[in-house]
Amino acid sequence: MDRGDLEKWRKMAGLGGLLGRVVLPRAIDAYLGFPGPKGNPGELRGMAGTYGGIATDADGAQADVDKLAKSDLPQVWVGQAQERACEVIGAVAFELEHSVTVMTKARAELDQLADGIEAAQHSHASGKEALHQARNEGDFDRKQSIAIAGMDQVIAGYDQAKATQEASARVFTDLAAQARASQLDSSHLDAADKLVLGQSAVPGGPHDVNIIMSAGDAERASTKLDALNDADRARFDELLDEARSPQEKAYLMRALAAGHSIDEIAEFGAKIHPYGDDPEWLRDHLQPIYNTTDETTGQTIPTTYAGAKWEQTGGTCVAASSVTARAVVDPLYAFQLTTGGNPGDPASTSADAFEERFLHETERVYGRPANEGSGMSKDEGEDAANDEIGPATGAEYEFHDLDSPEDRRGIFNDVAESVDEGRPVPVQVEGFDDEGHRSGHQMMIIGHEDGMLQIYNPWGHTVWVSEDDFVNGHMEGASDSRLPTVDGVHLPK
Amino acid sequence: MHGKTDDELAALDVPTLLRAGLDTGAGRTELFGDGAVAAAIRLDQAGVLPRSVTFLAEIVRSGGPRYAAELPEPLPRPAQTSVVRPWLSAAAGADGEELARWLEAVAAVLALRANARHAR
Repeated sequence: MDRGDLEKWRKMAGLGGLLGRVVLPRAIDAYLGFPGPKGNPGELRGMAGTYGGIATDADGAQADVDKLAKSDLPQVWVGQAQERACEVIGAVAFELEHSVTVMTKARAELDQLADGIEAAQHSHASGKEALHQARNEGDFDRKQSIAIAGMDQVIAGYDQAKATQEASARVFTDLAAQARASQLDSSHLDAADKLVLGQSAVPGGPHDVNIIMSAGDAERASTKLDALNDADRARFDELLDEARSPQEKAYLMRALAAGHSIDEIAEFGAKIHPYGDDPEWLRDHLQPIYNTTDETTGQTIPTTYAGAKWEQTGGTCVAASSVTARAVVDPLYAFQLTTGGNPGDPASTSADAFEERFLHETERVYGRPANEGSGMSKDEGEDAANDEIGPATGAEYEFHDLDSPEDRRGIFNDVAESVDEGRPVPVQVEGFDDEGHRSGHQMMIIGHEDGMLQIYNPWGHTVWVSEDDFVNGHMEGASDSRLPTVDGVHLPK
Repeated sequence: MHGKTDDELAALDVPTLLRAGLDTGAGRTELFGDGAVAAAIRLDQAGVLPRSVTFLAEIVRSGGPRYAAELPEPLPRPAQTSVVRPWLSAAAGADGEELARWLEAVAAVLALRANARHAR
């Protein structure tokens, strides 16, 4: 039985005449068999009390830690160990403050949940009482009116329990998303690292809404960190160790989360390192948006870069929100747009230069292509593949001339491997007419299974060909009789 | 292992192929083969440039599939967005690198189609 059944029986219970008399007792029984709202308000209140106690303890500890970070520690320690300790202590203080907020919210929510469930159970119980009374009532009209009032109470109890539970689920989902430190679950970070990275925030707004690494960033960074080989891991550790602030570390971690290679991150790291101890510089050049107000007002103010807006549509016919959206999740991309890769050059970091790069990028991504190439000669095909297909698949392509069956046999496994990795392989076919005139055409190898290759011909169809057909110049099934021979493929370098 | 025409490919249900190919891996060959061509044909009809799809793949790689699914304008025009939105929603829980690769494969097929048109 669900709410729909309850409503159905409620309607039938209101019928008059003979049918009403027959149906009413069954409707009452159906309601009496309906289970009440689950949950134990007493236990929920007990849990709320425990959370409240933790919040109070954390609040007291936070005051002590704050004092420690601000005064005692720097006096007794100097050098790198002291800086590291201050970072950790600072992060602990924020974590504790955050815990107080979360625990206090959780306590209030559990209390509300307990109240809501208690009220729902009460409504359900009095509804059931009325229904029992109705069952024993002899007079039909009285029986009917008591039963319907009872049914309404059961329905109200059901609705209230559902609404209370859904509201609580939303609040707890939000709270869970705020538990950032726990998202960094890489086995390669110690507890102090996780805390410092998870709590690093940009300046200029409330700490808790300006954490550099979102829960999603932390999750992706953890996955990437665990997937690094030993050499890359050592290089990345070195970058983190040299970082001049927790913020610099967090941006390096976000670069990793965004999917960049260690070479790219090292180059980026070297360029931002001179500004590593300037969190405002890092914020202004590595991310487009930060929160200047708190979460409760829900206000996110898109910032400007040196006075130029990150959101602009002038100059192109399309909105540029996705360019900004990419800069939000990729600090290397944001850095390229704000500085052009030359953070020390005033001309390259000016608002005008930023605006020009931003518009150029928008047009690059969404504008009409400038070169409408028309030929399909081998060279032009290669250029086209490098222009569009190369960047399109995130790897640079190299053309392999295949003049003989041996050449083609030799490259077959590389082709199959590329396709298996999800990188399609452009393939060039050719043929000669009776007068020796060459014609050529480009197709794409898009699948590989059981020694067969799936070819897409842009004339409008796919077809599977065997390794032997690929090797021995029998591609006419994929192209046509004029173009039987594979004479080259573009493979990722 | 039968070949298909563009009309047959364009009629394929891309979200279903994405769910099967990305989540279980069982339908991966079909997703990166027929599915990539089906997607490229649909995007071509909506006038999407290969580089716009590559850019979307980069956002998926950096921000994850869920982030991309929530973008207000994954592609510049509303008609184009309405083509790609159901795919991103279907793949919101998938591995980011795998979805990014698939989008790049789609972009490659899209580029091939454009080049073939210019060659005629």
